[in-house]
Amino acid sequence: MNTNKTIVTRTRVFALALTAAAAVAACGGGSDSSSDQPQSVSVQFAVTNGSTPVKCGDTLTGLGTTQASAAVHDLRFYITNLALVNDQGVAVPVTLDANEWQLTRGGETVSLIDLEDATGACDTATNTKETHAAITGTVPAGTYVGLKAAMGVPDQLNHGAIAGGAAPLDIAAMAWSWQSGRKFAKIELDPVGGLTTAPSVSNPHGGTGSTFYLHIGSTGCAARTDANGAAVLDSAGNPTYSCAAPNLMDFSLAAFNPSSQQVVLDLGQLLSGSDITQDGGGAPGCMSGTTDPECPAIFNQLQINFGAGADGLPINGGAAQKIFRAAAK
Amino acid sequence: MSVATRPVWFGAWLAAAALGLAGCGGGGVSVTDTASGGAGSGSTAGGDGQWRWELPADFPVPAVPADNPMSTAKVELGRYLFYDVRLSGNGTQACASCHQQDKAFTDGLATAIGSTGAAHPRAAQPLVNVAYHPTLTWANPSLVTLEKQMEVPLFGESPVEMGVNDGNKDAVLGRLAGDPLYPPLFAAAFAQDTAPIRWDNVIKAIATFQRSIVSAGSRYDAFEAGKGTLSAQELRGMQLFFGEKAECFHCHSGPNFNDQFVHSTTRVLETPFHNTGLYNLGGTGAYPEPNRGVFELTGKPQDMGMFRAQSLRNVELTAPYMHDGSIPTLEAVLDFYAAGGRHITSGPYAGDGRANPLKDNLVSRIDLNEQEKADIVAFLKTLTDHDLITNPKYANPFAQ
Repeated sequence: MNTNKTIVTRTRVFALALTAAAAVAACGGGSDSSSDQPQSVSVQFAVTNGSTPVKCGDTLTGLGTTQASAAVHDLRFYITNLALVNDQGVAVPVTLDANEWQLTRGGETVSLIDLEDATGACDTATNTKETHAAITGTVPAGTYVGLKAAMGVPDQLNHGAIAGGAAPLDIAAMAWSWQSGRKFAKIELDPVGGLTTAPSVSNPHGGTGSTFYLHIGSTGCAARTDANGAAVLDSAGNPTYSCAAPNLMDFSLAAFNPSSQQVVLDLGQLLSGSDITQDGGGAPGCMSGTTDPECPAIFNQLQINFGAGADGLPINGGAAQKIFRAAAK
Repeated sequence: MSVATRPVWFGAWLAAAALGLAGCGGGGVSVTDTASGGAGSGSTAGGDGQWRWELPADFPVPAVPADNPMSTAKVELGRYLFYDVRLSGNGTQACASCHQQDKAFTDGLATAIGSTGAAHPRAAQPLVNVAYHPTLTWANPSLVTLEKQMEVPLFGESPVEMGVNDGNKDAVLGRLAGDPLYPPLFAAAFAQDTAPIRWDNVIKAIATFQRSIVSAGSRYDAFEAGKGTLSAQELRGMQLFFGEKAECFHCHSGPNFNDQFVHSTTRVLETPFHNTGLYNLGGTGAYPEPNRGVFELTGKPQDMGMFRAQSLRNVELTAPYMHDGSIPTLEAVLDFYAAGGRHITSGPYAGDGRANPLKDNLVSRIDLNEQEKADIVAFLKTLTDHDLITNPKYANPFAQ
């Protein structure tokens, strides 16, 4: 814990703050007199391969069990219910600024982290130039030492319409309409040499492809029905859904200082148990299918119960996950 | 108003259009005034006053989402959008490209082709009486409204169908806004909206048009209504169809000749799916990827090969058959069911579907002779609604 910084009460932290407007104002009066002033916070996200920053146009090396190389094809994921953990161990929700990347509804928050800029191998019809790397908002004044969040979209927001949906839930590329939901994460890599699908019983032709897809999302979703089979509707009259495997990934960082640190998603760690050059069946890569042979290694990294009949819930709150970590900006 | 690419199939039904409404020998028509507040029918807000369902006898009022009530203005806008190739990203394909009126809104292909040439793994669905389907597409218990389902062809990436994406979705709307045709149509359909040319309204209008495609004007319906006759062969086929020998009716019954049927006053809804023994790869019970039915969605072993029974209305027009178009003719379909499944003896899909461990118990070997199979086929052809395929209400508004 000795690396923790408080973001309100210690003057030396403010020198590091990049989004310090409100913080500076709070500083003048000391912590006691400003304790009721909301504190601006900006949580920066980045993607790395180990310690190497990753962006579209890069060719990553040393990936997975075959030390494969691959170009980045897409890098987007939703973060839900971001909270900072205070020095009492209480997770305090970040009140999000209202913008087209961040949504607050029904007491839950969701933000889209979009780290692809439609360059390099990300230059496809479904990619976009716009990026969004930092979740911004406020927290009550206090001393914060850690971070808690989930990767995904809360269930009550997951199933609404894409078209006409509130931003950032209106992104067509993140639609996962066959499960009546959204891709929680759309992380795609083009392995050098391509992706080979070996023939199998259910895919006797086998095949080749160019992209290893990681599409994480809720699966086994069905419209909710009552005892008579009638659809259970929400207050707006729309169908509601239940999903056999929610697949929201909880994670927490015991030590995190948003002023000096960022949240890193380490692709090297995420793929460390995977061979991204071979596909054993199901979707190319892992699209969260419970029988897809590429998924167990991925969900082990996500620390989500996975497989036929599994509940799709985080294992021990994601305590053992290693793919998200704090790193210096 | 012109459209750059007129679907090539248009001429076929134009030639047949002379038959017009006179060809309809259907049963009685009931008129339901939904403005009086029939359950589930919603109000008439959002357009031009009342909507009146003109329903065949014995057809209940469809269930309609509360936030997308029927209106004639919305149906009309939806019809234009349904036939407009500008709605696809590259401007080459309309909904109607794969859902063609003269084929009961299918495309005649084994499996569909998207606007960018991407191959769809499954066959285009007929849209007749689609308002009564409680689940949509071939095997998906999560797709329960036409509005939600439409996100798949519009925005889907694997495969690309209409090819609308974040990069072109504003431009596609701009095509509509820039055509003098559309602003008044949108304004009429969504009177309460100050800026109605939006994707959610596009979807609502097309869904409303789809719900309006209600049809039961076949010779069979006329016969049932006491207003027409069937031949001796057709009657023999009907007896077999509804009898305990062929047992077709277990999955193909009710107003829509299927076993998933929902309406505004549904009290008990069942949404069964069936494995009919089409495949049994390597004797494992498996179906080929990515066409493993409900299993693709749920991953549950017991959902392997489970598909929704298709409505048999207009089945004469919807060849080839099955989710993957793998059976070319009605005669071959009868051979398949008479055998109690499909035995593929060689090649990559080899396996004896008759022995698929998940096969529905009702799909068993039936001792049908050639005459009996021909009789059932003759009966199935009495389910064709010739008015449907020429009715101007459902026709391409751009092809004047």
